[in-house]
Amino acid sequence: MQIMLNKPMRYEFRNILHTAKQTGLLPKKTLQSIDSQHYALTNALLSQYNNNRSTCASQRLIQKLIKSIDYTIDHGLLYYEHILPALQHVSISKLYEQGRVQIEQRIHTVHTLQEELISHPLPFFNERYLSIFNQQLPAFLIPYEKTQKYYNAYQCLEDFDYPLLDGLAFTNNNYNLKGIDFVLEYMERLWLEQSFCLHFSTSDIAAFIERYEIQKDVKVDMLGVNVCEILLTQHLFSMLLASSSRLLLTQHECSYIEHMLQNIHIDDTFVTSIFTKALDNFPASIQLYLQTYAESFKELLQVMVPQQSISEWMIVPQENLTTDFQLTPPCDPKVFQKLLSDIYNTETIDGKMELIIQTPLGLYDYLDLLNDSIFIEEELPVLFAKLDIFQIALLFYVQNQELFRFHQIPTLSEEELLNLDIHELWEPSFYKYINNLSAKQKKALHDAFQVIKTIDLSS
Amino acid sequence: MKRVPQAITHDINKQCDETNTYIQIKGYRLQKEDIAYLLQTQKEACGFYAMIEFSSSIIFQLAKVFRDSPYLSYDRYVPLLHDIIFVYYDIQSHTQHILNDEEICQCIYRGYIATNGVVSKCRSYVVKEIKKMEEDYANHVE
Repeated sequence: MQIMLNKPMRYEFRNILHTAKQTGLLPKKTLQSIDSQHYALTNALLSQYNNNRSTCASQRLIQKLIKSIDYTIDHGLLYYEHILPALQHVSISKLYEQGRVQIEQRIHTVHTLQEELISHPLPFFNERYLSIFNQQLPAFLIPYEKTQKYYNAYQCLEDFDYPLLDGLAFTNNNYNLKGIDFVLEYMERLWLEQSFCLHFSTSDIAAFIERYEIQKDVKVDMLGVNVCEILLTQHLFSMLLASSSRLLLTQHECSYIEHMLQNIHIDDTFVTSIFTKALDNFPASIQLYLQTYAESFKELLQVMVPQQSISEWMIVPQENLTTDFQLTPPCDPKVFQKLLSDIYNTETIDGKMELIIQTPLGLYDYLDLLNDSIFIEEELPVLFAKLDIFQIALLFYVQNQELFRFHQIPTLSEEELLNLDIHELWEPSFYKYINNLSAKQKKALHDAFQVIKTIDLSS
Repeated sequence: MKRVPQAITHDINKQCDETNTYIQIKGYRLQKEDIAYLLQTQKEACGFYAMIEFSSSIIFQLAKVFRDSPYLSYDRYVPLLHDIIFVYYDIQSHTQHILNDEEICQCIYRGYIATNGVVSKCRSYVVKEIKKMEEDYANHVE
């Protein structure tokens, strides 16, 4: 369901003029008069643009001015129900002036919305969301603070890439709007979403987002996620509970909701009843806007409930992966030097291993030992066998940090291990050793990776 | 969009008379045919350099400025204006619209004198000069 918050905008002046010329909808005299008035207006605007310095300009600039005039006249035509009679009876300069008033009002509304949104921020530290206020909206509004504002009203070079409830504005063809109209529509939608979110307390939202990050194992900073959507989904789920709705559900409540959904036939009536209950306390404008999500929510339930994976969409409290693991600090350089000389002087592999076990070595000491090629290739598997699973995971992590971006964790499949980049001589033996580990050990290694991701190794 | 006025209007006639009064001291005179030819030239030059002109007054401004040229005969006056109109729109298509039309006319004349009356050579001089003037103007504003 596509809704428009504002009166639908018609950009028809140029098209109607063209059609009228072709079909004779308007008398020739009127068309000539419109042409000459438009010409005079362009001339006047050019003089204003270059401060009466020149009577000529590039075709590109004139096209820009013409587009700007057409855009402004389109806004002037909003005052009239029928365009053709308006063009016949109202002068172009009057339409232009009326259009300017309309654009001025829109700029004013955008400014007001901007102030409102900034003064009631959400605790949602997402790059795209913040860049709307820090970067994109100010960059759009800069030309409107100068005298040349009307030349820019028809265009919007900014992205506005924070997705709203119905996705990115770009994928919705910018709501078929241009320039200031599009920005106003976007800001009004964002304002409605934010008003809905602020219905919950900011501390609840912050705790909810923290839970979301833990459950999804990803930070929201760089995600293209809409905060209103995740809050609304949780709010709708919580409507199935008898008690009053809240964001922070318990594990027990979630299982109850999941169980309940399994036994309910999901259809339009069910979804409508949830929406009616959920949006009961909200103003009509927010209700109308959030209704657009009903279709998506129904589809979500219809797909997820039979697969029994609805729990992925509910944000439930989860224990954060913590460990009492302490990284051994690097040993004293003198001790390390002594160890090196001892290893050189020892001939048997068992003797070397004995020395290593006796000395408390840190992660980077092991790396130094391996990188210095002290051990021959046959000795390496023996050394790796002496390490515990956590030390192996750490070594793997340090050598392949690029595999741990965002929520990624290496699968340790044979194919993946064979295709890893080799930086040091010992690495092929190391990956071969990991490949030969049992499935149980690999699972332990995988769990260790999850814990390692939470440790800041630089400290 | 009309690029230049097609017919010789009352306004153009008035400007023509005024210009003729100014240039006749040096023995030049623009006839109606000359004006029609120069208007056509202006239209072609605008089309060539992708410019749009709203007034024909620049023809008369150039005529007044080039009245004082020491390298001219009566026969060469209108052909020179023809060439200069092309140079003018070439320059205009590269400026940042900081200087006004009259300053650009004066600059073209200085370039024309500096290159001893060779129109084809004066362009690079004028471009440099205009760039410098625009920079000076920008610095002055800052």
